Amino acid sequence: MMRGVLWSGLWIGRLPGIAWILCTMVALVFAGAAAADLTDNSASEKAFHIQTASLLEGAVDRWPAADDVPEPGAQVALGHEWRKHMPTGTGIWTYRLVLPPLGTPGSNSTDAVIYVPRAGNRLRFLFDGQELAQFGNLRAGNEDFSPYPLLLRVSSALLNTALPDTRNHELLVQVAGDNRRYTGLSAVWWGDDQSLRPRFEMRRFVTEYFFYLILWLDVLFALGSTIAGWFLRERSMVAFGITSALGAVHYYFWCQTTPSLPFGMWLFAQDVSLAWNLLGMQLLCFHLMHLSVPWFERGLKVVLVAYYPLASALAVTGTVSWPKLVATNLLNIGLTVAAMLLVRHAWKHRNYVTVPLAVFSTLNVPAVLWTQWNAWVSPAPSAYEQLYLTPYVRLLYMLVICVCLGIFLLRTVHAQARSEELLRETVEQQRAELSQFYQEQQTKANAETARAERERIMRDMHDSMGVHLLSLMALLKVDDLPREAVATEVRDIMETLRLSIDTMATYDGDLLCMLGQVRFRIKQRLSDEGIELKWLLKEEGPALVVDPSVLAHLRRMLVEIFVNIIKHAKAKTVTVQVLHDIDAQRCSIVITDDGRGFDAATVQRGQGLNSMTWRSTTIGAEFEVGPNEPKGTVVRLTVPCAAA
Amino acid sequence: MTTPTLTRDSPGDTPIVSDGACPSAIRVALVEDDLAFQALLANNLRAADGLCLHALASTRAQALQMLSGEPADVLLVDLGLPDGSGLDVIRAATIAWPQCAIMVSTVFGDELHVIRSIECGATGYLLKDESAVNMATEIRHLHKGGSPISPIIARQMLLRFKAPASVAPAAALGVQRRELSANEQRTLELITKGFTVEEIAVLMGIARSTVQTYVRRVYQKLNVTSRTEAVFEARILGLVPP
Repeated sequence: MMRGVLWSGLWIGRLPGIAWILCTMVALVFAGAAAADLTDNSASEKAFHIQTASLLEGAVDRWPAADDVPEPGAQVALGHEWRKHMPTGTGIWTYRLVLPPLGTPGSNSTDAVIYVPRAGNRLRFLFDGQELAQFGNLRAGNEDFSPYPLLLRVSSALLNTALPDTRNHELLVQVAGDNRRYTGLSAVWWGDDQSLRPRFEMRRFVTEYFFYLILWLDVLFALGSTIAGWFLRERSMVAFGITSALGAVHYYFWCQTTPSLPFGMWLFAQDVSLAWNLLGMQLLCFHLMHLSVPWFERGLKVVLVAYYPLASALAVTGTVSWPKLVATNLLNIGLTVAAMLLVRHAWKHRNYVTVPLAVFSTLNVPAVLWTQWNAWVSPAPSAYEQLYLTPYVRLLYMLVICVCLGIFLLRTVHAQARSEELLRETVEQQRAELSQFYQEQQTKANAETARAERERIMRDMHDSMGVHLLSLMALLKVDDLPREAVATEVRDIMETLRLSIDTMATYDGDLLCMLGQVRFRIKQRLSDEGIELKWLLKEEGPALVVDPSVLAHLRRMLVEIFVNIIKHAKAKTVTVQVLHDIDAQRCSIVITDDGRGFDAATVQRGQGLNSMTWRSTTIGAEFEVGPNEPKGTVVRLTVPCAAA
Repeated sequence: MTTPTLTRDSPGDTPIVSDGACPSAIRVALVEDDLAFQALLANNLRAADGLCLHALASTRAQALQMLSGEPADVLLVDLGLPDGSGLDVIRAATIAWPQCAIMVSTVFGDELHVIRSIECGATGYLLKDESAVNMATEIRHLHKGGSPISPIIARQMLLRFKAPASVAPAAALGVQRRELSANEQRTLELITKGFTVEEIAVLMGIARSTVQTYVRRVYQKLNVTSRTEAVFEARILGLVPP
């Protein structure tokens, strides 16, 4: 055991670990004292069992006997030696009470009752030697009436009996106690129904209905918080829901008079659900208060998740009981330390969340201690009948946590809304900057496009019209003005102008339309030169789309190719084909003539060829020129394209 | 060859009209502000067989006045007139001379001007630098029902008739606009790809004249659609009572 304590202390951490070891040692000393007390009373306990057995067999011995005869309607105190055993002893106690007659001598009251404020556990009542009532089988061990009040009506037939000489009555009360659960019986009330029933009803209301209220509130919290947390993706709400569910499990079992599980499992389930419920509540408090004490949280987890269930299991199986006593005291120490930590934190950070949580966490400690004091330590005979404050304080604690969780969530939502607003503003600002940047880039791009377009038109004008105009000027200087040649030059200029204007038309990248327009413009000249044009395009098929900027250069290159054919090739036939490679997304324009041919190796590169090479490089096209079989030239222009 | 005599009632303000002596010839009316080009055209017309210069105007005002006279078979209009647009003359001619084939004379035959002219009612265009022979051929061709069309213009036609309903104001107001027939659509698609009228006739297995008819119909449909849309636009603007 000592090794385990030291090991757990070292695992937790150096300084907190030392504190933990000290606390555990104190708890062990306390447990040792209780165990010694139990050992000292072993003789009386044995005697007690013998006496009980004798009673059940009809013996007349009574233990312990009440010396004084109480007044009617007053509390009759019972011995409460059993409480010294704390939650470690079991057995059957028998009490003998002498009850005074009710009413005037000779007249028997018909509404005499015995009121038991808190049934210790299973009970059996014998009135003047006759069995009056029994709550559960004393030796069955699977029934429990611990928290409940009882009211027994004594029949007139029984009242007619009395002890010899004194006219008093004798009441024997047998209590089957299982101190693993706080059981026992400290007092009964004897009197008429009219005076005692209101007490009984009030007690029953508080006990039954309030317990059920706690149970159903726990269920409500569990369902509502878990579902809401699930949809809102809020882990703390889910944690609160699970904590409430554990509380509901605990009180579900607590309220049962006939356990729905075997008695040991029933007790174990109550212990574990209560321990985990407390753990959840404490961790939630820490979370809601933004308090982080790792050594304490780790220790609490070790005690409540591992040690407490183990100790409970050892107790309910009857193996060994003192670890549960240690666990109970460790829990008390833990709750006290937690309350101190929360109060200290709340003092530093006072707000609507920290203060209520610290207050109710602190209230929880005296409530628990006061309950345990009444159950096991207090010398007052009626202490055991005091209401257990723990469930009610715990309920208030849960309500406070629920409210604080709501505040916490509202704050979170508010903070998130502010964060989103900030984010939106940032996004708007960035969007505006981006828009401005885009506009600047667009302006630059437009300027660049305009510059490129100007450059292209300038190049067109230089390559075509400039050359024609120079030729025209030269012709005009000839003394014998060659009218026909001048007219031809002017017509060439007009055609060139039309072709240039065609580049401004809206092709939208339609390659075949551009090709058709070139044919439309050039066909008359081809016809005039006696060149037959074979147009071998596919009549069906999709439109082929290329980049419009590429199209402008392609158009100019095609015109150049046709002009070269007209001027230099001396061809009779020109064939135009368009090949589309769907996979490679490329289109090839193939122009073949049967003219005098073209030898790329020997030909002197002129302005036109250089211009076409420059254009093909600019637009990323493949430009190939080669001989055609059996004669002529093949020109192939390949560009990226897509089928529309 | 017939050479009618042109007379001017009031020099500078009124059109020159023929004395009506154009028997069995295609009567051509000319609206051209460039006097040199006007003279060239007039000479070419006089020189061409089967063509007769019916009337001559050099301003928008003269042209509109000319339309109140005897109708011509072919009207050749220049768009850039000194006192207004030749488009006004085309619109007026479609009403005054409904049987007359209207031809726009243009330097470049560019997409913008040709489409606008067709929308106003023109059914063809003539490049101004055409040789005399080609010019006469084009006029005779137009008179017979043929209409010149380039791939770019054919493409524009297709786009106009494919435009979604929301683009067309008339359609938006619930008025059924003219649609292209399958053959007309196919004809335009082949023209867009650069095929000539003869090649299209072979590909579609129809006569050359039928192809020309399809083109002429498309021009007319565009004109009708444009006029309908214009009327509805005017109604929306409150210019014309509904």
